[in-house]
Amino acid sequence: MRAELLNPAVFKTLVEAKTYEEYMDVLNTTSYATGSDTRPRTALELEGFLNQVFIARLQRIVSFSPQRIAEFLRIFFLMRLEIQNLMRIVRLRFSPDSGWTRTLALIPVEPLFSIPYGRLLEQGTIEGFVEALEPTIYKDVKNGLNMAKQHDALWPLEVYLNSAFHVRASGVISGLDSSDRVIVREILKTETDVENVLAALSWRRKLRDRLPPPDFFPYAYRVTPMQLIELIEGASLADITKTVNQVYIRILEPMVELDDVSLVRRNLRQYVYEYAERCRTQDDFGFPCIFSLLVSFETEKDALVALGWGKEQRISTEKLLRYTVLPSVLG
Amino acid sequence: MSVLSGVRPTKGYLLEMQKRLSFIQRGCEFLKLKRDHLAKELTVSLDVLRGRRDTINEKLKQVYDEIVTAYLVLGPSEVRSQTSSVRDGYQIDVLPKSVMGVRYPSISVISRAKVEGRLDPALSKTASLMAEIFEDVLRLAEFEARAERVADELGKTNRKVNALENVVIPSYSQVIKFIQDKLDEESLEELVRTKLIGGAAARRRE
Repeated sequence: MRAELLNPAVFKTLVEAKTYEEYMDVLNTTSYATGSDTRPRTALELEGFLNQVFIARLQRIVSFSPQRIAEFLRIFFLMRLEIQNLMRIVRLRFSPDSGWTRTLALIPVEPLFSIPYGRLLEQGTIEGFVEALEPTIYKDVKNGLNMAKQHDALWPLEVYLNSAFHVRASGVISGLDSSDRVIVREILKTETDVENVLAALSWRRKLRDRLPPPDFFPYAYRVTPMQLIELIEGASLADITKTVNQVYIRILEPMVELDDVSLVRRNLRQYVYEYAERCRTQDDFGFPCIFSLLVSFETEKDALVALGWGKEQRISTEKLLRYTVLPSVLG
Repeated sequence: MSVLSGVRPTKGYLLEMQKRLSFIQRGCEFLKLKRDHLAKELTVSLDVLRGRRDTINEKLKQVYDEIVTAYLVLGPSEVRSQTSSVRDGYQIDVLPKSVMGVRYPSISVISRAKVEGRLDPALSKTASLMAEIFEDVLRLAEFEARAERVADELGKTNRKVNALENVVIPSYSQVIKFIQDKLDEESLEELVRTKLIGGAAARRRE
């Protein structure tokens, strides 16, 4: 399946495409080829199509992976997409845009632990949405409802949905070999810590005069909740990352120097990709191989979405390359 | 058709014409004052406008760059989903205001969009930047509309002043001069006639 990944020459041609049509013509000659009548006409449709391809590849890998690895992959990749979908359903309650349909709004993934999305979409209120999730593993979302009302915000629901992911992931990680557990935990810790730092800085920008509730950072690893609070209170990010490790300094550097959140996200994605690849070189047959392949597929999918949107909007190649991680080119 | 056609060379008509000319001249002076004031207003507006536009363009470029990077990193569907969760967009009220009789729209913000705690940090930063400059953009739009209307009114006033100075006032002056000449001529004729009649009557008495 590794052969399905695009090679650097194809990526070069895709990056050099002048228009979205030209970009789609090149993409049509790769493993992402579509029929002429199903060809995505917009970047939004392209994203839906690429998500479908990624999910199909994931399901294929899951189907022939050993049970304990398959279970982990489903949680690590599919559950995160499901949580993204649940958040999108909550946001749809607010959307006055009738053109923003369910087909385009939701990632085309079947519910894993949730009830069917259609039933959630039928709920007229957030209370109804939370109630509908009561029989699922997301039942704790109701604990965030009062806070969501109090702060007039959706992040409390997101915090509880992500907590459900962490609980479930911790359970399945324990089924992996100890060396595999190290890989996954490293990635989870880094992702969670970086997202916590970004959330803290975002809070500081808007609501510096009041501290977030204790539940705001339910999971924190190398950057402790105390340090995150210090960050909100005005401590320097450079001082805090200095106490952690070199990886965090590198990922968060754009935030210190340029206040660029997007570049931090790009660095995080690159780090996860490179880390998974590094682990694969140490064990090219077991879990690291499967995991790095899926990380590569996911990174490639995100890169193709970004390039497609960039071509549609005629964004400069320089900017596209600055914010996109091109897997095979890096490899 | 000559301006003198239909002119009645009478004393009453002359007085009427003189009254009208004086009124027009006074009106013309007022219009000149208005023109000068509008020109001054426009010069100041253009200077301010140029400065503000450059600043806002710079800031808008920054916001646009932030949006582009958010799209590239989060993907179009996620950005669209997040932005759709922003409730209670900006509500504005547009009322007319006036400067030297020139009406222009005045914009006041009734309520602002609530974006706090709803967006991803990348978009949240963009939203904060946009919120910072949104009201500046409204002020700029108001200022541009005002400058545009002042310029329009200045053009109209200038045309009116030119028409009065170069056409209306000279034609009235011409009519007045014509009537005065006519009346002077008539009074001279009258005097001569009186003298002649007086002379003839004296000769007859002798």
